[in-house]
Amino acid sequence: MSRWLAGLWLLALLLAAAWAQFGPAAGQPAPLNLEQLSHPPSAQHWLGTDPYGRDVLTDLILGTRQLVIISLPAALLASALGAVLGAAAGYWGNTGVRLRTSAAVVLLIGIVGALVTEPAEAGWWLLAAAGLSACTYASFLPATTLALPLDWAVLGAAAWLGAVPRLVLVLSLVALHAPAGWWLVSILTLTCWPSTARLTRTLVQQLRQRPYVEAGRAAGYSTGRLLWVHLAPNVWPSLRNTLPLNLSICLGLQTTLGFLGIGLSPDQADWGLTLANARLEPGAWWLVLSGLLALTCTMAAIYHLLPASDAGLAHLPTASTAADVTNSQQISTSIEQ
Amino acid sequence: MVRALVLRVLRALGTAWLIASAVFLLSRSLPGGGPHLFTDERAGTFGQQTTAEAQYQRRLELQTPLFYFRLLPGRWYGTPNQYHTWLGQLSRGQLGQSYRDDVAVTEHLAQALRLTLPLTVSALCVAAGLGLLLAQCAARRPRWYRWLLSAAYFLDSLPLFVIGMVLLLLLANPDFLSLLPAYGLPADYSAAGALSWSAVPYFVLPVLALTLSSLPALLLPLMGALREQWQQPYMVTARAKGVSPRQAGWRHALPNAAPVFITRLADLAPGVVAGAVVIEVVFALPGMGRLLAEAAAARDVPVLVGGVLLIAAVRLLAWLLADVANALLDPRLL
Repeated sequence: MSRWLAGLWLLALLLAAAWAQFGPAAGQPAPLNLEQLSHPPSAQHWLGTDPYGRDVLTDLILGTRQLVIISLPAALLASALGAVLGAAAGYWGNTGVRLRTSAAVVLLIGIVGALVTEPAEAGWWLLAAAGLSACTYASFLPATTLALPLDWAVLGAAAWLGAVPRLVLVLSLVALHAPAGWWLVSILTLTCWPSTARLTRTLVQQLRQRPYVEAGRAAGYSTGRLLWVHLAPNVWPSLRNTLPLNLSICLGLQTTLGFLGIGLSPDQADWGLTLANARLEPGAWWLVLSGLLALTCTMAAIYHLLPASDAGLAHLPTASTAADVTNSQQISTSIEQ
Repeated sequence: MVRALVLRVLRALGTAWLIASAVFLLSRSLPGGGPHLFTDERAGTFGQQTTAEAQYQRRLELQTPLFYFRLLPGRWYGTPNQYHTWLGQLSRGQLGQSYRDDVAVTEHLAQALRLTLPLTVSALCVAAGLGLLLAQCAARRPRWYRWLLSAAYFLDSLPLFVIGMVLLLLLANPDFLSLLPAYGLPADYSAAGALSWSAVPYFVLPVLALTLSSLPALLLPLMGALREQWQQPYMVTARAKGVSPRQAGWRHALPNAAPVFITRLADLAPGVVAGAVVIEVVFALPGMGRLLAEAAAARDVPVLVGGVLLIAAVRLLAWLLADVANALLDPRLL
């Protein structure tokens, strides 16, 4: 029952966002009305008006557009990126992917060459390097290989991003660029993937030791088939929780940024901005209440998307054994909003 | 043990340096990222404007190259560059001057910390104490456990500014309950002087909000770990030998569950400083978080980089302390 309600609420948000995008009021903020500043809820304005005389309900509905075009893509991208990186790190580990030393040298020279020449010639350098490194496999050059430390790289990048609290990192990165939607989406993606990657890595690492994967490898199945047909269905039940969790994190960060007035252009309606307006008029309880209710209902609805039994267990890893504790010290997660 | 600690410190220092360098280089190299005297509006004639802009850039030493070399196309610049200067200043403990008011960043940070430290430290202490008490109560009472679990997840899902605004709406509202002051600090507060006791009521709501927001992260792992310890055979033995439930919980279960708690606490220490970003804006307190938020809004890069470095340093210190505490509690861990 409650999951039906949650689904209905999220569907309503999507419809509201579609209305804000394509409806009659598309692209414009709610109209100002200087005769009705901070009016409490009435028959005309169901949720009252804010200190600029805008209708709060219209403002909230227009604000859903930002949620759908920023938080949703960011959460999807972060989950996908985390799943891919985590699966690669877990499946291949530090020694699974090997490259011929000669091919690696050729590639390195190509990349350095592409970086120091004129931008127009960079493509040719890369193309030549790729072709030459393919040739080294066919030729008689010594067959020594180099292992690519994928696992080390992914865990290192995750730990690197975790060294500063997420909000501070987002804040300082957002401030570097003029307000733009794609910049915000890429920053949210960049800061949210590590937890998904860690979870996927652990799951894949455990699964690839199983006899059925080994049997598949012995039968000569390709890596792609093993990963997609045999590992993915077993990872999925745990992994599908990460999308709602990432979504709630992105939503929280986005509204916080809107509240602080950073990274989003101030003429776009946003729930954080709506709540920030409430600070101009401390007595306007309707303003705070409606913004808070909308945000809280959305968060609760997202949490109801999780399976009932293990809601949120993936979110805060409960390190319980001694090994887990040391692990979580090295790859500690940031837990702040 | 010493060797492991030294290695960890070195790695952590490297991480902090990498992050600060990334923020510094990104901020200066992105188009429109560096500071400009004029943005859009045209003031004066074009010639005057160009001269003023050049003077401004020279004052901030922005006319030198950014890094030792540039890419696409490659070119070597050598030592007099912005990054080298910044690194040299950093090694002498200077963080440069703020773009906005030309005051040293270290002074800004020191002034902000004098307000933020009492706030965050008291919030952390309250959260840690409350988390310990609640977790001990919940560990052997399934109903409490279920109730606290859902409450903690709900609190955890809310952004921090929502918690702050609910508290404001409930406890500092002229129409409802006006128990506490809503904004700012007492009139006799000065940026240079010490905090007086009259400021305490102004701190109640911010500390409460920070405590509520950091409580779930402490409570959830500790509750899980304590519950697991209660199912261990040694607890049954202790109870069978006549130890009271309370004593069994504090004396026997807690030391075994404590490493989780200490690790979490160390994770949270810089997070609370970051949480102060939002809380200080909501409650209009001139502290570290507000400084960072304003610097981000005004793109005051030296202050931002300094703040990021400071927070990274706090995290390193917290990790180090947690490692030592855990190693003392359980020598197997190092």
